[in-house]
Amino acid sequence: MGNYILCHEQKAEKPYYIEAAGVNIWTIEELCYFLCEYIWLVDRSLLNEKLCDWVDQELHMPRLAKLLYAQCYKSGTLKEFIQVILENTGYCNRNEIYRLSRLLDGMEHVSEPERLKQKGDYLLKDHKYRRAIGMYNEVLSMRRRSGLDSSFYSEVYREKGNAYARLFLFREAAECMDMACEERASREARISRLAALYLSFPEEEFKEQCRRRGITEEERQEFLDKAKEVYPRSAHLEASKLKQEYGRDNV
Amino acid sequence: MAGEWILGYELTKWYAQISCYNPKTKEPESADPSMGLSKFQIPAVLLRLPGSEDCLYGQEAVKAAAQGAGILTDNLLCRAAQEDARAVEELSLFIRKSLRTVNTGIRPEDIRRITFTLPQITKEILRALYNALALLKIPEDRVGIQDYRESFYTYVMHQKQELRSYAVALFRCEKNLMKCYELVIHKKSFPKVVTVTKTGEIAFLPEDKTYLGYAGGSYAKEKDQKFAQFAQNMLRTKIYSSIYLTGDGFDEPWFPETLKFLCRGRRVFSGRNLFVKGACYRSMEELELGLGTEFLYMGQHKITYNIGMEVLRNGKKEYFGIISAGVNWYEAKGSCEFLLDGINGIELLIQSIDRADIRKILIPLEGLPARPNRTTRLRLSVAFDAVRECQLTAEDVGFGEWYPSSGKVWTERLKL
Repeated sequence: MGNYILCHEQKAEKPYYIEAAGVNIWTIEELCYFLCEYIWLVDRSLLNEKLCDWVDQELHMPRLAKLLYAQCYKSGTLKEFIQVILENTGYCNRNEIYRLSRLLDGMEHVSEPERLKQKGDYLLKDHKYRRAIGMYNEVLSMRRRSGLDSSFYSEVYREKGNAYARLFLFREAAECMDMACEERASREARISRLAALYLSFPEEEFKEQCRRRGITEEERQEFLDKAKEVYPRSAHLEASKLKQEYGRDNV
Repeated sequence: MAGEWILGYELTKWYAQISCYNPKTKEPESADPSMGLSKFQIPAVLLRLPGSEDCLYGQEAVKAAAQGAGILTDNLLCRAAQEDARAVEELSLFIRKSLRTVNTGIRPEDIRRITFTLPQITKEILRALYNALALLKIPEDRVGIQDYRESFYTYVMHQKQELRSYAVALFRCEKNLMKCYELVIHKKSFPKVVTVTKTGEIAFLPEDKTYLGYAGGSYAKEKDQKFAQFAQNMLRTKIYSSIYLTGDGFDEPWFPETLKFLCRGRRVFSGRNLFVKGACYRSMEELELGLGTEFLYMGQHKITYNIGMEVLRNGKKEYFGIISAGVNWYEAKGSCEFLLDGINGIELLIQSIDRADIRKILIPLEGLPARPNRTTRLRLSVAFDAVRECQLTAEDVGFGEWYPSSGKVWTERLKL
């Protein structure tokens, strides 16, 4: 059964900028949403006096601000800080807060590249493609000391390729998909590579590119059948035409 | 006292009266424009001086007009109610000037709270008055408006308790028309509901000036007898603790017989500033200088329904009231903002004050943008067009940079 969550009356006149997500927020509910949905983007930089000041002066929530100041001064953990916010606002229920707490516990054991990849994934979901690419590049630059297996890096390349594709940079996307397949040629990676090639080249050249990469005729045909369902016009669209057709998304 | 004026303001077709809260006595005091003569009424007229931008008001204007200095503008409130922009300006000018009787240095921004009491309230009069007050830059949230009956209630409730142990009667005599009202406190409920009802009226024949004088003359005697008869009829069925006489009809002592009857086992008070003091008491109450929540007045303009929603507040399910019963419909405005959590409509709870009628109203939100759960923030506003007609407006206000407002607005009219 549905509910109505009563919002706090006061909205900030000056927004609070969450650097990790690159967004401005005006209400306590937006802060809670960020904490719930973008938990992988949250780091200790959030635990600062500026946020407490904002809660106090802009949202006029002195009680919550007092509790947050206390967390800041006693150098509490990020988990405690987040718990204080969520438990005193009513945006989430107890189970959700518990689940987030468990996730935060788990995050302590997650390596830096994995955490950064999650950040990249959030940024990608949030249409912040360039920032996402930057995040994936950072993950890839840590490769030597990470000790993570190739399937992880295959995913990183694939998501990086997705970010390029969203920017209509299909050739760059195809290069990333090639790298993803090189790391681990999973079914998802292979389909993504085909899609990137399909969007990058005219039909004949697409065929040639597939041949060069050792993609079987059967696999190519299977992809084309599916692609025609996705693109009902069936005509092959060149990247340049696509770029003209759609404006660039928020980058 | 700058910025601290708490006022009551009576405005009729003919005159205005102002009452001001005195923090020393903690009681309202009538502003006296007659400089000690205790003539509290200010004629509701303006006179624009020829060749000048300046205006005279009140008694000065009447005198100047008698000397032929210009033409009087009267009936300010009714003319303003007829959607005449110039008349609204004149009304606001009159209010501004008349406020000087409280203090010559008073500015509209110095008013902490002002309650207007009017003989009758209509949509047109309300619009005119609010427009005039907007010109004076007095914000609506510092203004109260009530009718005479409610002013009678607020006045009586601020008198000694023994004066309202039983019913209270009011005789209001304007010119030759007398109306009788009774105030009853229903003590079994909490808060104690108070009602003021009109129990009767009587019209006297206009006085023939050539026929006789005032008290003692046969016209006065006849009138007195008629009043006595009327009063006996009115007061027959109940026990009354006190009786109030107000209006210009009681200015002369033409009713000695009736007075004898009225005073039998009851306290009788007569005066011209009952309503304006009642209005000032209301201003005091709004600022929590008054009665508290023991009594609830239910008059003809009062909403008899509570409107609210079941919401999650700090994680707990509770009823959130948007409009509370007992508020005048024209002053009833409420709003709240909430997030939709697994639901695509707005369910309102409407409950009559006696809980006999409990309804759930569902407002469908057609064309609601698809968004993740708990990211659709809506503002619901409720306002009234009449005592039983309300308008519900829901607006998509967006959810930060993630989901900006779609600008969609849903409205629903409701008959209670």
